[in-house]
Amino acid sequence: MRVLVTTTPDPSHLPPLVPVAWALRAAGHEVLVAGQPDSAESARTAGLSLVSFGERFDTEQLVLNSLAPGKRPLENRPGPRPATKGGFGGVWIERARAVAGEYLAFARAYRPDLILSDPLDYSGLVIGGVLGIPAVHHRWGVDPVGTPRIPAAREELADFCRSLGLDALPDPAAVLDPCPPALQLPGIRRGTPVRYVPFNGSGALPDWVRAEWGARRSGARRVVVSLGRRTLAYHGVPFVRALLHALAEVPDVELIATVGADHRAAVGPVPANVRMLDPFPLHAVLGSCDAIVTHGGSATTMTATLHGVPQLALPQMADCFAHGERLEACGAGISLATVAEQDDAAVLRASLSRLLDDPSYAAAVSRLRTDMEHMPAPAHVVPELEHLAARA
Amino acid sequence: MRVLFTVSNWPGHWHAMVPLGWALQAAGHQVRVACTPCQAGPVTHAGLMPVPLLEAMDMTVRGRLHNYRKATVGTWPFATLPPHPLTGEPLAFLDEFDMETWSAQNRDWALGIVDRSADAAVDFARQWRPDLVVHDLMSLEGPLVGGALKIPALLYLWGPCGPQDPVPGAPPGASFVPMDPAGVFERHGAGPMDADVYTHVIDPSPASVRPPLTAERIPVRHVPYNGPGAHPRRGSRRARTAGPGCASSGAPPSAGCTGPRRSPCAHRRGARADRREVLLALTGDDRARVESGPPLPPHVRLLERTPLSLLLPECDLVIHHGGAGCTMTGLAAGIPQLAIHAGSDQEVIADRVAAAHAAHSLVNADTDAAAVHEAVTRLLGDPAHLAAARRLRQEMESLPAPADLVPVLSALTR
Repeated sequence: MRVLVTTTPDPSHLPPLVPVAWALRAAGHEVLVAGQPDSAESARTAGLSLVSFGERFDTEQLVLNSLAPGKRPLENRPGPRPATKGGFGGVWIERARAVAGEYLAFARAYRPDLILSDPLDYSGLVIGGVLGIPAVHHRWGVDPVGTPRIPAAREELADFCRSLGLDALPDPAAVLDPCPPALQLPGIRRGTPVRYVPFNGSGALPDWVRAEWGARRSGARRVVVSLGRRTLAYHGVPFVRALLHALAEVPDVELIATVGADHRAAVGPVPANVRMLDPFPLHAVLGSCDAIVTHGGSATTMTATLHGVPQLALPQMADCFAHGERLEACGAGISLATVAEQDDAAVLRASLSRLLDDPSYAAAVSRLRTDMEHMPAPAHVVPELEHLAARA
Repeated sequence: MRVLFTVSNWPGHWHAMVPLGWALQAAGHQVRVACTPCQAGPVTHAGLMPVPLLEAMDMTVRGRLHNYRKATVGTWPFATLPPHPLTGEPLAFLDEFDMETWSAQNRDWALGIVDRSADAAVDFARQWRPDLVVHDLMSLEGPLVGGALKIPALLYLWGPCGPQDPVPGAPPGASFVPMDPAGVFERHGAGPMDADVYTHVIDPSPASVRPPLTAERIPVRHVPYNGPGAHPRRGSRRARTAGPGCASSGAPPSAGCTGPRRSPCAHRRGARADRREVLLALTGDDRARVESGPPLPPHVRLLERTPLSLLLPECDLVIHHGGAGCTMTGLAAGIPQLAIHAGSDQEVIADRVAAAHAAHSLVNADTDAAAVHEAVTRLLGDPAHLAAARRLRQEMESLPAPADLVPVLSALTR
C-alpha cells in the first residue's frame, strides 16, 4: 500500500514516527512524507523521501518572537494549570485549515491507502475523511494536546470541513501510542500500543562512548543533563549555567551535559565533574546512567523511561509539563515546573539527590520500562495498519 | 539481538541493506553500522547509526588505479587514456604515472590500512558483542568479524552479482571476493579468506536473474533505497498526463574513475529522437558536468537529488550505467532498461537482466548516439521487453519482504 505521512512543521515532530514509517517500508509498502520545508532535514536524516509544500513555518522564530528579552519561556508564561489543560495547540488547528487544501490536491494524485500523522497534524484527518481512507495519529508520548484538542479542532474546522463535503472532522481511525498506559494521561482515548524505538534523528556513536567501554567507570554516579534542542536557544544560557553549577555540588556525581559547541563559550567554565558535549544519541549512553535531568520533552522522556532511568524534569513549555507531571505521578521522577523552583540551587540539588538516593524512583521507572518492553514492536503494528486500509 | 552491519566504502554497495537495518530496528533489535568516516554521513542519512572506525583506500583512487592497470595491459576499451590515478587529471601518455614504483612505495601504507581497519572492526565487535553480522560483497571486515567471533556473517548482495561470478575480461579465477593481502584472517583466527567463507547469502535478485551461489541463498524482496530526497511533485493530475518519459541515471559516479566518458548527456540525442520526455537524474557535480557540455534539448528535464524509486514508476524506460542500484530500482518499477556499462559487476548485472529480456546491455566504449537510439526504439517498440520487466517485478514482489527476514536471522543466532 501507499502511506502518506503528514507532519506539522517542526524538526522534532517527525522523528518519533520514523520507526513505524520504516516498519512499513521494510514490509514492502511505499512511504512518502508530506510537510513544509521545516521537516525536510528530519526526513532526509531518516532516509525518507519528502514532498515539500509552502514556506518555512519556523516554530523556533515564532517562539523567540513571543519571548521578552533574556527571558526563557517559563519566565514569560507559567505552565498550564489544570483548568487550562488542553487549552493550547490552537496554532496547529489554524495550520490544518491553511494547508489541507494543498495536501488534499496532492493526495488525490498520489492516492494513498493510509495517512499517518503526528498528533498535532489535524490536516491528515481532513484528507482521510475526504478521500475515504483511514487517517492514523501517532502520539509522541504523553499527549496533552493531540487527542484532547480534537473536539476543539472539530468546532473550529466545522465550516471548513463542510465546504469539503464532510459532516465534521473525523476522529483518527487509530491512535498509535508508544506511551505505556500507566504513564499516559488518565482518561484519554486508549491507543494502539507500539513499542518506542529511540530515533531522535540519527547520529554517530560518539568516540568518547567507545573509548569508555574498555575503561572501568569511576565510582561517581553518572547523570546526563539533556534539555532538548531548544532550551539553550530560547534565552536559556543563564539557566543552564546555574543548573550545571548547582547540580555539580551534589555529592559523588559526574554530569554529562548536552551543550553544543555553539553555546559552550556562552555557558562558560564549569566544575571539573561536568562535561559539556555535543548532542549525541541518548540511547547509546543511558545504559550507564543513574539519573537524567531533562526538559520533559517527549523523545527524551520516552528514551530515558525505556532505559529505566529516573528523571528530573525541568519543563519550559508545551507538552513538557505533562511529561513531568505524569512521571512524578508514577513515582518515576520529579518535576519542577515553576521558575522559583528551577532557579533555586538548593531545590535542584535536593531533587537530584532524592532521585539518586531513594530507590523507589528506580523501581517505579523500571516498572514503566517493563511495560514498554512488552509493547508490540513497530513491525507488529503493520498488519493492523494494513487491515485498516483494506477495510476502507 | 544486536546486529552489526559492516559496509565497504561506497554507498551503492550497502544501500540495498538499509531496509533490512530498519526492519531489524522496527522489530526491536539493535543495529550498528561499522563504516569508514566518509560513509558516516550517508549512513546517518539512512536513519541508521554509524560507527565510523573502519579505514579504506579512497574508492575513486582505487577505481582509477584499476583502470590505469587495464590501460597498461591493453584491456582499457576507450580511445583516450584513463585519468591519472592520483590526481584525476587527463593523461597524455601512460608513463606520466609509474605504477610499479608507486605500488612498491605504497605497499606498506596500503597493507596498514587493511590491518588497522580489521583490528578496529574486531575490537569493536568484541566490545559490542553482536549476535550476527551482515555485510556487502566488498567488505572484508564482515566475514572477518564473523570468523573471529564465531558468529554468523551474512553476505547481502547489492544486485544480481555474487561471489561465484567471474570478473568479465579479467584472467580466469578472478572474482569479486575481496582478498586478504595483509593476512588479517589468519591473525584473528578467522580461517582462510576465499569464496567459501560465505555460508549464507541474502539475495535480492528476482528468480530469473539470480547469480549462481554455493552458499545457502536467502531470497529477499528488494525495497529500493536510493538515498533520501525530495519527491519531484509530478504526482499532480496534470503532470501525470504529461506523457510517457524515460528516466536516465546521471553521469555514473564512476565518471570520476574513468574520466569523462559517454554519460547519458552524450546519449540524449538518441533518446530524444523518440520525442519522449527525458528526465535526467543528477547528483553531486553532475549539473556542472552537464552544463559544461552543449546545451540540452528541450525534452530533457534535469532533476537533482531525486530518488530514482520515486521517478521510475512514472517512466517507460530507464537508461543507466548497469549499476546495481539503478538496475534493482528499475526491476522493482517493472520497466525495461538500457544499461550502458563500463565492465566489472555492471557488465555481469546488465548481461543477466538482458538475458531475461528486460534490458539491453551495451558496452559504453562502443556505444554512440545511433546505437542508443536503436536500443531505445527496440526497448519501447517491442512489448516483449515490457512483459519481461513486469514478470521480473512480479517475481520480486513474491519474495519475502525485509521484515520477513528478521525471524530467519534470529533463528541463525540460536
